[in-house]
Order: sequence, then structure tokens, then C-alpha cells
Amino acid sequence: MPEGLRSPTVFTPKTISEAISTKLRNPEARFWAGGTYIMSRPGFYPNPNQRDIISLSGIQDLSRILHADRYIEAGAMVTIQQLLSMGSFSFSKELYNAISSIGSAMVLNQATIGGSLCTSDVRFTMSCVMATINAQVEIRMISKSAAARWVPVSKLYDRRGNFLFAENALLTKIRIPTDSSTQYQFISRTLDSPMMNPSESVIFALQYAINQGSITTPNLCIALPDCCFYMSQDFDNLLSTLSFPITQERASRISSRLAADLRSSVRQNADMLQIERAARLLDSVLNEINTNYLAG
Amino acid sequence: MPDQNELFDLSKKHLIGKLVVSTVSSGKIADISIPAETQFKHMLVLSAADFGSQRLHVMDDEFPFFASDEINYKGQPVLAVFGYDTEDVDLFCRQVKVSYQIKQDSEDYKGEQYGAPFIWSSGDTDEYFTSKARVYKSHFEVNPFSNTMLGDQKVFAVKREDGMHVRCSSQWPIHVRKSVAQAMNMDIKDVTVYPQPYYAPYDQLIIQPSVLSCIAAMAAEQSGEMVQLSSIMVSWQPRMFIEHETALTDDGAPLAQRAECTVDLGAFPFFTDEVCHNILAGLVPVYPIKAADVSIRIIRSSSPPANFFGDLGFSMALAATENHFSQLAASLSIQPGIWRLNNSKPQDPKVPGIAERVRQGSEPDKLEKSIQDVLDKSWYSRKFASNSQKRIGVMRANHLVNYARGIGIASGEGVMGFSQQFNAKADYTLSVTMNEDKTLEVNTGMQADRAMTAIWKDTIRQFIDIPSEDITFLDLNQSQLLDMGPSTLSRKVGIVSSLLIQACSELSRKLSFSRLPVTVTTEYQAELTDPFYYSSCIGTVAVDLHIDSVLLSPVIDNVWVHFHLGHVFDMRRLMNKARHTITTVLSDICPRSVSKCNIDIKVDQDGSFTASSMTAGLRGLTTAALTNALSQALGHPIHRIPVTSDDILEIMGNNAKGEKLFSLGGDK
Amino acid sequence: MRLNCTINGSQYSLVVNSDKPLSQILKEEILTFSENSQCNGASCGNCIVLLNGSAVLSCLVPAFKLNGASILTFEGFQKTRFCHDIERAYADIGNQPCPQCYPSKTMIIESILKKVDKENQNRITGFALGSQPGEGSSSTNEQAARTRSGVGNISTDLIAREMVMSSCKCIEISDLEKIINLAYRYRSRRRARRS
Repeated sequence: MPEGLRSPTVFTPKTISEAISTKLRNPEARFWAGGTYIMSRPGFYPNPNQRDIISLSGIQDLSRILHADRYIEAGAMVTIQQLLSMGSFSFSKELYNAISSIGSAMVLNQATIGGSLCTSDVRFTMSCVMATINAQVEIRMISKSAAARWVPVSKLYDRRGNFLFAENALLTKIRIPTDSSTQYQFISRTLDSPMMNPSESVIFALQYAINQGSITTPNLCIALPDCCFYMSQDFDNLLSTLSFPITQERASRISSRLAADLRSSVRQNADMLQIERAARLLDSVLNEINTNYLAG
Repeated sequence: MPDQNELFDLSKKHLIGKLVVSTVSSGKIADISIPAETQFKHMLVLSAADFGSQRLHVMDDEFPFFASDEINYKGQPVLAVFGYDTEDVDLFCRQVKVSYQIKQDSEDYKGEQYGAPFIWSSGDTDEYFTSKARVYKSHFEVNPFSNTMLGDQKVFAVKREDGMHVRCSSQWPIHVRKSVAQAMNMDIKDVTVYPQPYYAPYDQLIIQPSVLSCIAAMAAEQSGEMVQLSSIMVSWQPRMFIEHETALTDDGAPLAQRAECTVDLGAFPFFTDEVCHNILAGLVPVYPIKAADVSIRIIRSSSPPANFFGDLGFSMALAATENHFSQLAASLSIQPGIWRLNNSKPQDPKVPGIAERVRQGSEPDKLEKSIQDVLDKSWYSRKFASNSQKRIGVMRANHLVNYARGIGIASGEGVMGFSQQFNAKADYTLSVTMNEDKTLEVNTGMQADRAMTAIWKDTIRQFIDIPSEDITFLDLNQSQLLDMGPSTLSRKVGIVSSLLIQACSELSRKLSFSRLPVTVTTEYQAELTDPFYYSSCIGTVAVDLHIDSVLLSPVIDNVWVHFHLGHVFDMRRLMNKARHTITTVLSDICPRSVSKCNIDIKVDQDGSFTASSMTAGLRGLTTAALTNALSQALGHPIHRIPVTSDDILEIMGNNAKGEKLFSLGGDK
Repeated sequence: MRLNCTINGSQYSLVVNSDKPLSQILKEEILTFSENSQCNGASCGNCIVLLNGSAVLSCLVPAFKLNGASILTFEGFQKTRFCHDIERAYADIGNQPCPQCYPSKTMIIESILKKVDKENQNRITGFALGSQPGEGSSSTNEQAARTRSGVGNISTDLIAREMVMSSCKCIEISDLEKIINLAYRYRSRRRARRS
């Protein structure tokens, strides 16, 4: 072992309460899920000031998957690949494909649900997709009471994409509705690779229903990795005014409005190319819905 | 020679080294602060002061291993740190603090001219560039881009009683040997180099291994231990700015050409003569012209050294030339492919063209045949016409974008190796010896990989009846021959092959009447008055693409290639190399392009036993065909590479047809 | 911490820092390790190894997760018959990755083959458990038949997604598709012969 380089202590709690109490005793230690995000940061190793590690992989509660009638509940340490294996019979084809497209098999094997939701620069498709389908996560506060509450995924981030529960909470479970596949339609697209090229990639997800030619209960989420996590009730209301078939001009006007909204939401480092791509993607999706509607 | 594995036994204790490099592009080193010895034990730190003459000699040029007090480019080595532990070395390097005195105008510094401009001319261009002449001008800019695919490369050095032993991957192992001997003030016989296999398509391993080897050797001498030094090998495409001007006949045929090129070779230009020759070979068009003037300026700046990048500028110069002629044809409302076909042959085939003074060897018939072959199999004319018609008619391929398909074409000659002028000044010799035990020994200054050695053995066996296992190539450490230069630009194929053929032919003749052992030594004959290059490579490339209306990136659909070559030693290897070259060029020039394309390559050999290489030519022609196709798809000429998605967005924003641009508020 | 693991079939007992990436451990312990990562963890794709049978980026796996693990680097994988399937496919298609990314692309191809194999096995199992012979949807029957005949259902999109992990663009997707489908066929035939 190298001189002068401290080997971080690795705590391996067996329960969630033990993990929280370990964190309270060692406030500088950090929770470790899959570790893919932490280890990809520049200067991770060797680091003389490395924080101690609270490994969550030994907590069985966090690795369970429960399949209920109307939802799947998975622990935060469940890998995305495991979620897909469980959900292959419950998720709609589009949702399954959307989650599989998060990354390669290597990424899906290593990345955990909790880790991918907590990465503060919103790189993964997971956040966007889960927000759109009204998934909820259980958050336990890092305190003696360890109070737990359920929070919609859409409320985990601010508009700029900052994760709101960075140091004072532990994400323990996610609940993914499965009954929506029969009621709603779901579209998801990822442009470019959020991992390899975050400054130019766009993640788009839209859940909606069509009732007599009108869009009802739309839920749109657009993530521009590193700079924006966009969900807007106003914009969803605008989408619900659409009656298909729509004209090209109408689709373009809505896309222009999206571009304007995104411009006001993004961090300073946003690429105009990302906004252009996001708007074009919406335009293309609206036309796709239009075409499908006309085709019956 | 001692066993390598025993010499460089990494399971034994050894020093591990890393470089500390500058974080500014120019300035003076004001202070270097190193962590205290109490914090890190047993560390060895080397700097410029540890070397008597810390200069690496490259032909007639030289540059330092370390920055002494002046920083010449960002990333220049300042210190080398060695320790027994990787982590300790990493942490030590991070804690080294180098402070700089930045020159006030350093940000605006564009570089200065290095040496006199290279001027070449043939005929009198003033006769054709009159005030009434029809002239077409264009420019082409190559922005620098780098390739770090090689990752960390390691160099090992250990000093024993019998001398210094160095193990590294290098395209120029003799240069490693000479440089280490010079840096350590040792006799070259006391330096042994163990070359390792490598793959360096962007010539990352020409100079840097020599620098690292010298530093590692010094560390080995000072510490008395085996040393491992690693560094990421970077290769940079030099920045180039090229302007072309063509005087035309009324029919649009070229009469005379003027070309000016400015190339920025970074902080330490070297091989500058060869750079000029190589660029010249790309600037002189393959189409018959009556006069030409070429001027090339080398700039030295505070950019990282950029010299070799697969070639010495030929491919980008060729790309600029072909891009120019495609735009010229488009300006005359003639399909670029048809224009090329119409102008591929000289009016009088008996009169040597201007191009033959620069690149001699290929026949005009082959160019015509190559262009026709690609035009036919790509349905070029039909697609070009269809793309243009639909664009003019403002037909929308979809709701977002005007018809955005393009097909581009480029044709020309390839070159390989260094120029004949370079070869004439160097002494290249090769000898073959048939020993008394009927084994054959070949003595070259080149390091050959397994595939190349197999090819040379096959070549030898065409002249001499001998089993393959009885042919050996002398190790470079035993070789007494002069340096044959770096293994790049396919030189080893060119020169060694021709020398080998000569030697074997002579040996075969001598064996019939001489007693063994028999040795034949051949020298490469080149004259300063020779054409700059002999070329047995001529070809055409076409690229077909469309612009993805959402991604705003090009999607390459098809690539068609046809080449005439002299003699191909290994067709399968050539095809693989060609495909790799095409796919890497497409991603280098258009970094976000999506390539699910079909690549159709046809190679015709003329049977002559002249070696040929199509890599550099293929690189240039693929670049030009791609930019030509993009020009048609976007309705705007492309003047700068690499082409990014932001560039495409900007072009669409400026496009007179008014693409819908949401982020720029374009709602026309 | 003390780490006990198997690397390329050999047992190792090492003293390392708990957060040390697997790629660094391999670079220092396996002297012929072909990893030439230059990204320091930014997913260039050059450090891929098989960890307990699954392909992972070794620069993203810390030492404390490796106790008792079985690691196969490219050097170890090259000696297996699984690698021979892929090399045979390279030879038959007449194209292969450049020497630079040959190890990483080969490992990615192996991970694709494993994934498809697993999915196909699940489908066959689902068919066997869920229905009588002749019953079940025609697509399930077809899928099972295709699997038995050794034809993989490996789409270009899947390949493109997996190959994002390798930043070298030396080989086009269409050739990779042919190589992977051919390798899958060789592997299935060999499996069928053995069973």
C-alpha cells in the first residue's frame, strides 16, 4: 500500500437504519451505491482526502423487488438490468425500450436505480422516464428519526437539474406504476449519448392519453444533461389543448414555445444545439402522433 | 542479447515515473514548488538541469526534453517524477506547483513565420490570370484536432554493466538508440533498444518515445534501478489555411492554378522541407493545367508540436484541392463528377503534365476509368441531379428540413514515403547475405512487424528458392547500417521493398557462380532532379449522406471507392486498412456523424512490382468527398473542417432557404 | 485492505487501498494487461474485463467490491473457445477492429453475445414452462426455433448502443452486425453439437 495514502474505511451496514446511524456518526462518509458516477469523477483516485465509504450493497431491503398489482417497487440498489428483467412482463414495450436505452449492457449491469436518480448532473434517461410516468421514490432523512416519505421523481430536481436532496437524505426505494401502460401512451427518445457527450445530448419522455382526438393528461419531461431538467405544468396544459389532426404550423409554434421555455430554464453553459434538438424532437414526436392518429 | 523478460522483470521493485507538464501555452516558469521529502520518501525528480544537453535531434532540427525556463506549448514536460508507488507518484505530481509569468500578449499570439516560404512554380501563371480571365477562388481551413487513442504508452529503461537497455514502442527505434546515447553521453554500441509491437495510425510514436526514453535512461542511471515512465501519446493535426485560385477556359476547363498554404506546425517545427514537399504534392491538381504557382509558409506558434499525423499534410492539402474543384464545378452548374471526367485527360498525352513534375507514375487513363467506375456504381449523376432539383424546388423531405441529401466525389493520386529530394540526401542501404549454411540474412535499418516480415520473405522467395524459416532479419541493435528514418508514410513498404527486390535479384545472379557466403549490398538511388514523388496510386471516392433533421448530424449512407495500385502484397490487409481509414476519417472530419454506411471498395492492380500505399490518398479523397456531399445537402459550401453539429446549425441559420430554427427564433 | 480474487484463473491475495479501481490493480499486477485507458474513468471503453462473467468497465469497479470475484481480462479471454468464435467470425467476414481497440471491442462483442444468449434462453424456458408443444404464440415458437438453429436476433440498434462504450470508430456497424451474428451462430452450433 502506498505510504501517505489513507485507505478509506468501508462500512457495510446490513439495514437502512444502520446505514443512517453510520452516516450520523460519520458525517463525512458518503453513501456508495454502484459507484459508477463517483469513480468517473476526475481525481477520484488516488485522493489523500478520500471520504470513508458506506456501502449499501449489503442491505437486503435495498435489493428487493416487489411486484404488486399496480406497481413495481424496487430497492435503490437494484441494478437497471435487474429492474428490466423483472419488468419485462409488466412494463409497456415503449417503457421497457426506454429504460434499456439508458446505456450499454455494462452500464445497465453496474448502474443502480438509486445511483442513477441521484447523479446531480442528470445524465441518465432514468430520471426523465421515471418523472414522466409519475414514479415515486422513498426518501429517508438522515436524522435520528429517519423519517421516510414518498416524493415524486419530478420533484427531485430543480429546473437547472440540481438534485435537491444531495447530502441530507437517502433514497431507498422507487415505485413504478405499471397500470398506466393500458391507459396511457408513452414515447421516449434519447439523442446522442448522455454519458459520452452530455453537452449535446437530449433526453425526451412524454406520457399522454388520446381521447377523441385530444391529448389528455400529458406529462412531458426533457433533460439536457449538465444543464436542465424541464417539466412544466403550463406546457403540459398547452399540449392538452391540441386536437388531432394538427397542422404543421401548430406543431412548429408549440416547438418554438418549448425552445423559448428551455432557453429561460437552462444553466449558462447550455448549448443552443441542445435546445434546437429538443424542439425538433418535440416537433417530430407531435407529427408522429399526428400520423398515428390519422392512420387510426 | 540478454533476455528482455529477465531484464525488465516488473515483479521486481522498480521506479514508476510520470511527467509534470505545463498548463499554459507560453510564458516563463517563475517558480516550482515541490512537496517536502518528509511527506513523500524516495522520490526522484528530474528536470532540464539534470541533462548536459537536453536537446533531441531530429534531422537538422532539435528541441528540448523539458521546458527549462521558457514554456513553448501547453502540455510541455516540466519535470519527471519517479517513485516506487504509482499512487505516491500521482499524488506528488498533483502537489507540484508551477507558477508562470504569462506574457501579456500571449492570448493574441498567432505565431511567426518559420524559415523562408517554399515557392514552387511551373510555367507562367501570369499568362492565364489576366484581368479578363475567368477565375474561381476558394479557401479551405483545417482546424487542429488531436488523437489520443493510443492512451498511456510505457517506456522502460535499466542500466547494467553491459550498458543501457531500453524497451519501448517506437516508429523510429534507431532514433531512440541514438538519442539515448547522445543524452547519456554513451557510445551507441552500449545502448540496446528492444522495440515492441505498436499500432500508430496517426504517427504518435515517432518522436515522443525518444524523449521518454532519454528521460527514463537518465532516471535509470541516477537511481541504479529499473525505471518505467508512462505518458499519454498525443498526435495533432496541424492547423492549415489553403487558398486556391484557378483560371478557366470558357468551357470551364482549368488552365492554371495558384495555391497558397499556411501551416502551423506548433512550437517545434521539424521535417519542414518534407512538410512542404508533401503539401505541394496535395496542392497540385491531377487535372491537366498549363501553369502552376504554389507557395507554402510554415508558422511556429505556441501550439503543441504538430508534424506527422498519418502524413505530413498531403491528405489535407489534397482534400482542399478536391474541395476547390468540386465547388468550381458547382459554380459552373456542372456536376463535379462529370467535370472531373471531362478534365481527367490531357489534350496531348505525349506532353508530360505539370502534375508529373510533382507526382509521376499514374496514367491519365486510370484516372478516367476510376472516376467512371465510381460514377456508375454510385448512380452519381442521377442522385446529384435529384438532390439538386428537390432542393431548388424547396421540397421538404420532412416537416423540418429542406431536402437534405448530398452526394460528393473526389479523385486524385496518392503518394507514399518521403520525397525523392529527401531520399537523395539520405543514404539508404540494405544488404542480403547467403551464409554457408544456406540461411539468408537480411540487414536493414527498419523494424518490421510480423505481417511485413512475412511479405518480405515472400518477396525474397520469388527470387531465391529458400524455406521461409531460413530467412532472418538482423536485429536493429546489431545493424551497422545508417538510419532509414521513421517508419511512417509507408516508407518501409516503399524503399525496403525496392531495395530488397534489387538485392535479391543480384544475389540470385551471383549465387550461380560465387562461393558462399555471398553478400549483396544495394543503395537507393534518388536524384534531386527527380519528381518529388513516384505514385502508383490513383483513385476516386464518392460519399452519399443525408442530414438527420432532429440530430442535425450527417448520416453517412454509402461510400464508394475505386483505386488503381501497383502491386498489392496482401489484399485482405489492404482492404481492412482501407475500411478503417474511411471510418476514422468520417468520424474525425464530422465528429457527430452517424455511420451505418455500406462501404464498397474496388482495387485494381497493374501487376508491376512497385509498392504502393493508398492510405494518405484515401484520407484526403474521403475528406473531400464528405465535404462535397455536405455542401450539397446543406446548400452551402463547406470551407472548414472538422464539421460539427454547431457548424451545421449555423449554416442552416444562414441558409437563404430559411430552415425552421427554434432556438434562433427563425420562424420564416 | 486484503483482497482475495481470481484473475485469469490464478488466485491472488493483494494488499490494496479499498477504493483502488480494478483497472489500476490489473495494470500493476497483470503485466501484460492490454488496458490502455486514457480517460481516467470517463468511459473510453478500453478497460473492459469480465467480472463474474459480466462485462464491466474496470476503471469503475473499486477494490472493496472484488473479494472472492473472478476476473477475466482480454489476455485470459483470448485463450477461451468463446474468443475463438469471435475471431473466426472476424476472419470469415474479412474485417476486424484495429489493434488499438481490438481487446475492448472483442469484449463488448462477448458481452452482447452473452446478453442475447441469456434473453434467448429465457424465451426458450418461458416457452417450455408456459405452453404445450405447438401452442404459444407463433412469435415465441419462431423465436425458440431461431434460437435452436443458432440465429441470433441482434439488431443494429443494440450493437450501436453497446459500441458507444468504445470510442474508436474503426469498424462500421454493418460489419459488426455480420460479425456478431456469425459468432453467435458458431457458438450455438458448438453448443448444439456438445448437447
